[in-house]
Amino acid sequence: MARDVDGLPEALTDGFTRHLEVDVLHGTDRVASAVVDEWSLTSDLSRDPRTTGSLRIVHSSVKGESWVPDGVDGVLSPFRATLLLTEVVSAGQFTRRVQLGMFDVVEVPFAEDVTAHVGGRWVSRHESEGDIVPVDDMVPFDDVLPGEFLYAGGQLVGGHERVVASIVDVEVESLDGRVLGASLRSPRTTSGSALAEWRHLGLLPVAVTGDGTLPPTTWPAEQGSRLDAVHKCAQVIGGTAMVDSFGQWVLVDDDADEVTLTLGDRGTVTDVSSSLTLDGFYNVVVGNYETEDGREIRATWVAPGSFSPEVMGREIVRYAGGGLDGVRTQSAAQQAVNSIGEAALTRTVDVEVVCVYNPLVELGDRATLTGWHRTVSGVVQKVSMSDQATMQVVIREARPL
Amino acid sequence: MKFEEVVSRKFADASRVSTSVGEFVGMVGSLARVNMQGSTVDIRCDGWTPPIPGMPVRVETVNSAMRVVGPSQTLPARGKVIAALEGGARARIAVGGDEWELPVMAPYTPLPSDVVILNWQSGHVLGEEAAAPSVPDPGTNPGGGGGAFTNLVIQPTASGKYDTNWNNWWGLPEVQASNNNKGIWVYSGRFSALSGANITRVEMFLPTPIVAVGAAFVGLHAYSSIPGGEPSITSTVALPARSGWVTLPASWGNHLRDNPSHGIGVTSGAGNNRWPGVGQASQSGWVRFAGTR
Repeated sequence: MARDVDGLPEALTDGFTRHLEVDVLHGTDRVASAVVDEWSLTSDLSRDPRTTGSLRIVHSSVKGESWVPDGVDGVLSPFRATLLLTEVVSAGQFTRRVQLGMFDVVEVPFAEDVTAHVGGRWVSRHESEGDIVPVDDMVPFDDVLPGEFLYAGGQLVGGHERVVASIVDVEVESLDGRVLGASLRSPRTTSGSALAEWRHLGLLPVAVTGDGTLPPTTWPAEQGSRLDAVHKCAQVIGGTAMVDSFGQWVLVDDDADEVTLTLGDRGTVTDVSSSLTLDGFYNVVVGNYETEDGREIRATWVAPGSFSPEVMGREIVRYAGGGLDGVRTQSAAQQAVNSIGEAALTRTVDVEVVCVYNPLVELGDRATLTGWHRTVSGVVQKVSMSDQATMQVVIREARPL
Repeated sequence: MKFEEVVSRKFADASRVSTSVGEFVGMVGSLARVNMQGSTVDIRCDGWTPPIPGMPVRVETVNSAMRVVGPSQTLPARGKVIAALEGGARARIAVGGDEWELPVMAPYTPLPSDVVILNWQSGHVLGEEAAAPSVPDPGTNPGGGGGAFTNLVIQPTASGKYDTNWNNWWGLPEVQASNNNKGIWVYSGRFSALSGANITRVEMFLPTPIVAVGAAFVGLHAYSSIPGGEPSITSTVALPARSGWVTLPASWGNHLRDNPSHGIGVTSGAGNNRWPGVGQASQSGWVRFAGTR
């Protein structure tokens, strides 16, 4: 969950106004701030980078400066700008700020300056020619600026075009995009603490409490190798890696924060649906592992009870094995296939929730939905939020079948 | 062609590759007989003849075709004689953690404890090694991934001010350093992210102060969250600036690395300085580090 803020959940059940504040950072130095009206962010735990979004930044120029980027120049240049997004929620006297996170600008698909002519003076023809203009010569002048006199003919003398506002659309992505881009320049051999390796490779601070033991591993130097290595370290520690709203690596499963969404009269949830699928189910697990010196280890698991192949009438086999799981003994192999098998008996159900905008809901949170015909509790798998009044949240719930 | 069909054809074109290990039993014609995955199978064995039954071999499956591609682990070229068998025609050899019975080349008479050279292609003991080849030093390279870093940002989780006259925390999360107020930022142990690094530069961000009068000092404290009573702030130095990124003593970096639950606070004693705290202004109390790992 984003930083807990006193009283905010209560405020969200009633009337409130909000706006998104953007601090533009170059590196970590703040160079500008703006308020954004049109924006959207979509987060999904099953893709890299986890969060992408777009914002329309309208900057009212103070001294004629333009925010339209040009190469590495410009406040919002994709080559250097990082945005710190903070949602400000107000209800009367009550104001709270919730930091949504840091995002790198990766693209500016549209940028435009609005200009106005300032200074100078309109010189009419009769003034410039020192003559009275015949009525016949008076033609309608169709580009009348506010406060200007309507003269037939004449011209603007002096002054210059000046930027009064810049409209810049930016596409952003979460900071794991940096790690995705920073592939390893040379291969690297490692073993031992997965947490130490994660800190070495992760580029961002790693706020994880557990640890695991990496088997002797060599990360290749290929596209995306650094992010792959981070994900494997997280897998060895026992979770899924993501970058949170503080710009640090966390484990999804490590996150004890809980956010509650409520359906009903005082609730903020407006729509709930769910689905169930056989996709991904298996009732037999065959593990083919090998010892350190390359001898075969084999273990199998067959589902008991109503999910056994005999009772279900169909056998769905899943293979397990591979190098990084660290299974090197017969007992470890049996343990591994048992745990993979038991996971099959827990179905993951995606519950899609439409609720009133709540900036505290963050990807990877443990979320509880109350007030529906049953209580749903799971990990927030997807979040789509924007300047709209509602947001979409997908809670992935693990239920025993 | 519909998009779905294009995608499914692309997937159908992708090679399916898997690897597993088995135990070589013997050759059956040109096929290798291998015990693997609970059955005995005859598989093509391309470009390599496994000579010795009992040897672990690697089997690769590419698009449903299985091949024995070689021994699953390289067997050492050296072994140690345990015993001579059959009058010296064969020998029991210790190789790695295993024992093998191998025939001996004619001129050599095996003696226990001899270090012998083995030919795994034919499965013979070639003879005793008189001297080992010298191995050139390959040098070591640290490998990719680490190195120097800047802008490693740790963000605080809370902040506050403590009034030493009234002995209470008040007006959270504002931070104040005055005659009778001390302020701190706490980080919930997040400096553990510095583990394994050597920090050479530490800077902290102070938002534009609400008031900035008189002296202000910055120091270290030992709290991971806002404590119950008066905070103790030590190692204080004069605050070099009241807003923006402020450089702190470089030694604090490795101190925070070694004491990850600690944090940073401000005091005055003769002045009044107030800053917006965590959640009141962007970047309040952020700490950025430069160093190597």
